[in-house]
Amino acid sequence: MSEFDERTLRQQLHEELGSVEISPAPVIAVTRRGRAARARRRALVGGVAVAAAAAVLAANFATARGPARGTVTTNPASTNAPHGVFASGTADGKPWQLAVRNIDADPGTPWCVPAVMLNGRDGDVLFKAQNPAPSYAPPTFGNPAFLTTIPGFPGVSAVFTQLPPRATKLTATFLNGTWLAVRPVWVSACGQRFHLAGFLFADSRRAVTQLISGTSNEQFFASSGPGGGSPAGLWTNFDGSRADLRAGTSGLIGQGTTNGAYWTIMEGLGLAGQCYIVRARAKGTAGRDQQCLPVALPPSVAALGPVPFPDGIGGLSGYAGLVSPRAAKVIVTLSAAPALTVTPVNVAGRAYVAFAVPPGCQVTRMRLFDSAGRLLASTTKVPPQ
Amino acid sequence: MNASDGERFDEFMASRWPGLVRLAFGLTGDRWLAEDLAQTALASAYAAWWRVRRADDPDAYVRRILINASKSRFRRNRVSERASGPGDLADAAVEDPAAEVGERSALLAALAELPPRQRAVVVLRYWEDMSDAQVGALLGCSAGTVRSQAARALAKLRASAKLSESEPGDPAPPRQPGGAR
Repeated sequence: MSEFDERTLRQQLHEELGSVEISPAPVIAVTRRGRAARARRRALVGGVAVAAAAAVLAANFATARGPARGTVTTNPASTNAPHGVFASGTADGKPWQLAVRNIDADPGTPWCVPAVMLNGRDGDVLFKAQNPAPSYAPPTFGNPAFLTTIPGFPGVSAVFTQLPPRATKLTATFLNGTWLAVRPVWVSACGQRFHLAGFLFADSRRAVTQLISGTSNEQFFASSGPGGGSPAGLWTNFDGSRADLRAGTSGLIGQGTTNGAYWTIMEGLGLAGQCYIVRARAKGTAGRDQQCLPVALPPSVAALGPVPFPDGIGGLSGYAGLVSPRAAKVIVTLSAAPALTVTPVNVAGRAYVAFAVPPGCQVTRMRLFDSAGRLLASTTKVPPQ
Repeated sequence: MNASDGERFDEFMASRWPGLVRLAFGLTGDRWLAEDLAQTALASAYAAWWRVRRADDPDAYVRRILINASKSRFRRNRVSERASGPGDLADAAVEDPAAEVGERSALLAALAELPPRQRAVVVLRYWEDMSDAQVGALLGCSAGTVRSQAARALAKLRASAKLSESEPGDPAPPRQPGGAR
């Protein structure tokens, strides 16, 4: 490699990075995260100014007026983890639970994908901790997941992590100097056992600065929280399981040619949530776009949403999402074009559909049929583009 | 943020997004993480837009946020790797996912073997074409440190088995067409 000099490095780096296909700037996601960060910052500034007064007011009125915003309690862990619950409590008086659920198809099928869900929604796919760690990534233990924007729980964040088998507690320290300790719980799911601990905390504690798992004699250090907010319902992971995720839970769920444009839609279920990746090309131009949504359980009928198509390619719009695992065929009625017949695609036990809609058309109805041709469900409640 | 500030930010973001994703990709070798880091940097810029747009060099400001976010990730990972004992959990061999998805070239694989600071120096010096002083200002070290880190990084890259498997100038492996695999 004696020829590998600075010039070669520069040239290769420019070839490599210059050829990276760039998705469109996610303006909405960024501004949403930015607004959340700004709101937190303002809340902190305001909080400092009125801290003393607030403390007095809270002491006087908290019991009389119910829990203050951002008041979080954590119950003692139940070691038998009923229904996969490994942490629970209340936030602003509303109950919360962190539990491992199978986010896959009907019980009894061979498919099973475990995920940690907060109150049965906003799942984070869970993979068995790897040790020794792959060379490219840290072990799953010690790489917690953070949910900083929780629908229905403003001013509250969530954390969970897998712990080594020997660990008997997880201690979190916060930027405001407070701390919290919880016990880990063993949870069995999908033929695997996970040693998990988690909690919710009020954003008034600011951020998690350190998580320590260990026993009375040993300490295993983990990591601190993310710097910024994340989109609602999407966990921020510091996890090294991407190889498993990509191999096991990604797949092509739709493809076709519409208005002269060839398109494909992939789904990827993983650390970034439930993502849909759209690629399209027409008349010598090509593009890619993607959207990641919170991970959800399979719906009883269908849970579809618009997916972004690259601008300027056929003027197409599209839909992608999950349908009932019992659906064998979906007929999509369009406002100004022939109906589409779509066959759900099973990827690791989850039934997906994806289709493109020609320009100027709206989806007016969707009908789901089972394998015997019987109508399972019909809905006109399809979100507009 | 008023409407005109919002428009300015949108323009700023649209023009900087590709460069930030590429920079983050060089720093991490991971597309998804790169986009997330770029988002983090731009979201922070949005939250402090009044300060960013008054900065002498808004690009340097945003790049610094991105690099700090990337460094924090490495710091967290390093602590985790050191803390976990080999007997803690069940063994499982995992292939490098880069080979699987075909998104990482020999060069990126070799870069991944460098310590975070050397990797950042390489990307900023040879991709962003920054001077040693500029790189030092971003990384919080002297120009001399940048030069020595660059020399060490080059030496490691020359010795890397990852690069010895491909000839200099080899193009990156083809990417997955259409996504079907």
